[in-house]
Amino acid sequence: MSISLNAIEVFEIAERIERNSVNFYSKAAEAFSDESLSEVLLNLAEFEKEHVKSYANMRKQISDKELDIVTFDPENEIALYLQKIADSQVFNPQKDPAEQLKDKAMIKDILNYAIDSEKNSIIFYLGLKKYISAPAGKNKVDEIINEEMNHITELNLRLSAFKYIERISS
Amino acid sequence: MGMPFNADEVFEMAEQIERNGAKFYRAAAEKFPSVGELLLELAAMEDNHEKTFIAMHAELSGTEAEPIVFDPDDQAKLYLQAMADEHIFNIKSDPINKLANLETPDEVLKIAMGLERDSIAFYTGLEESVSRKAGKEKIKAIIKEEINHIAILSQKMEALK
Repeated sequence: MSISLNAIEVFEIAERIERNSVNFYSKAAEAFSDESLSEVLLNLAEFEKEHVKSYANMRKQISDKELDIVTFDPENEIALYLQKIADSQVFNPQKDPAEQLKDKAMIKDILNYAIDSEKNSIIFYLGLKKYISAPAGKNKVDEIINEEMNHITELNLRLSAFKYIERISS
Repeated sequence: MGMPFNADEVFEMAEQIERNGAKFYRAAAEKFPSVGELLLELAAMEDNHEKTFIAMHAELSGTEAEPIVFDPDDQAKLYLQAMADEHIFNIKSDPINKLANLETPDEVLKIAMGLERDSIAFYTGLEESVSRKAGKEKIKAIIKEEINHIAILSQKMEALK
């Protein structure tokens, strides 16, 4: 991406991040025989589906001029940051994360990957929030960030349980 | 870090994250002089963040009338606990170990971006749990600077291509 992002493009990336997560969690859930773990992953996929809708809705509101955005960004600071995050090698929303499942046969690798993706989403949304000037819009993004933080908590709980079982069985 | 987790431990962890960051940047600057200047600047900024956290920690602990954290359903605490788990964010390991297998400035910048990202994810939970407006504002300012570090590192990575 070589040109600066506009607000609509930023929200499109957010939707893509969430769609990627839905895809990843749904496919990961299919890959496990452990029903309770699959249930957790499917539940996370449901949350991410709601996030797709929220971002799509906010994008539409911006297009319809119903949601105020920050139009004063003289140094292009917000756009630059988000573009850098979107382009960065640690975080590439263009890649389909479900592809990662091919190389990650271990439950712990998949959980670690999921935790990493959630962290990436959080840092992107913190930047995205700067684009919105309306408090209601900011609150909505905060709500999504909080849900992503809860996902990390949930995934880590599963990771700890998995590692505990691994340790006592070895 | 073992459970449970209190506000003192959370701030100590934030301080340790910053110390680790500065130590990593200084060692990396020595190993990769071509990006040394930038890495030393980032190290100095992490020193300042550590000072801010130490000051906040002292200030917030000094007053007993108001709880320093507000977290009725323990969600922020559980999140910070998860982030503090050694599997996710091992602050006890020496950050210099991360440099051992790195061979190019590009690789070091990528690791640095990952460290900055982890700090931001931790501080976002910390901001959520601090009850005072003044404390929230300081954490927000640090998050903003860490976000800026990612932008700087990313720009440098592009320049190296």
